Amino acid sequence: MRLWCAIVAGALLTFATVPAAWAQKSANDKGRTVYHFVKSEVMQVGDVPGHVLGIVDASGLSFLDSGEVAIYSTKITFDLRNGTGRHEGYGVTTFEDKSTMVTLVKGTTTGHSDGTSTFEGTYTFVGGTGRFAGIMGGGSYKGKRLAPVTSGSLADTFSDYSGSYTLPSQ
Amino acid sequence: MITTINGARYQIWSVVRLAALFVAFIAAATPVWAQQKYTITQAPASDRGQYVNEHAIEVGDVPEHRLRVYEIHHDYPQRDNAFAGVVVKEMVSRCTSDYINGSGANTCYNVFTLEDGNKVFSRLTGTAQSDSARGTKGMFVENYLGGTGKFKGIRGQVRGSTERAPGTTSLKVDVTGEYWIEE
Repeated sequence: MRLWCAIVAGALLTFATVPAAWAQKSANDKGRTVYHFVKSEVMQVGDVPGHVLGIVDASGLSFLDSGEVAIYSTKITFDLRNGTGRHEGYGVTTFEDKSTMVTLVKGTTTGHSDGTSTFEGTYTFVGGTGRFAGIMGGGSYKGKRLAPVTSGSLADTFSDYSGSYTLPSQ
Repeated sequence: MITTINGARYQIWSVVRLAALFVAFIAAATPVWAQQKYTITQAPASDRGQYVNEHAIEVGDVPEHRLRVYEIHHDYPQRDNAFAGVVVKEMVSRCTSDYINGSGANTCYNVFTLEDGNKVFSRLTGTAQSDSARGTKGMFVENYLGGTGKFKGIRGQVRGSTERAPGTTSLKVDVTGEYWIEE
């Protein structure tokens, strides 16, 4: 009898604790980033005219639909022909409580004749700290660089993003 | 009797048609078969790569995570690199990389300048692994995309590995691959 009681108690304990471990907190991730270029370097590839590789260091703010405002920085490499091509890099969002979200971004850029560009792509959460430790998920983004990339130009840019993420339960 | 003659004619025409098709197939396929394939089994021993341009940005998520854009010039003083018998004068690689602690992925566009003035273009993707003693190993795949002059139609692929022992500057490179020039 005691053995059966122990087995039933053990099973109840298991079923009571496992769902708590499985449970995840999910949330929408939506907002707008506004940033400008801090540094950009462009290198002609040398095969066809207008083919360049480059790197951008940009920083600004992320305005989340939740009402939070966070510091946003992004580091991107790009491979463009006449302003159009692929870009890839990382975004780091740092909140007031020092929690961070890190995203891997991959997308395409379309250059326009006035020197501006539009871009879109997808992002995946690849890291997080503080309340975003263990973050998983991703989404998509679409934005515009409002000024040409020239020496001394801030190249103001905005990007609207929408996605979702899950966090492990505490 | 007539049936037999017609049947014989039909058989003859079938053979003629088959022969014509075969000749047409051979005629169409011959230019492809005739393309000379050049095999690459050894990296140029005299390859001297030198960084001439490098820009790195810290990503800021974990220590030593850097994105880079860089340019490396290679020359071959022993004239031991060639395409279809034309010696390569120099090669310039323009690359991006995404490394954490010296390990990660890279992509390069290579421009080979030949002694006859022509150029050959390729795109290389690779990975690098750096160990704690700062030795590095790498693997890459390079695809020829085209060129100028008689190398306009160059196509092919080279696969390779690199190894740099800790504390040394020499790079051991193993390559294998082939290329051909389409008309």
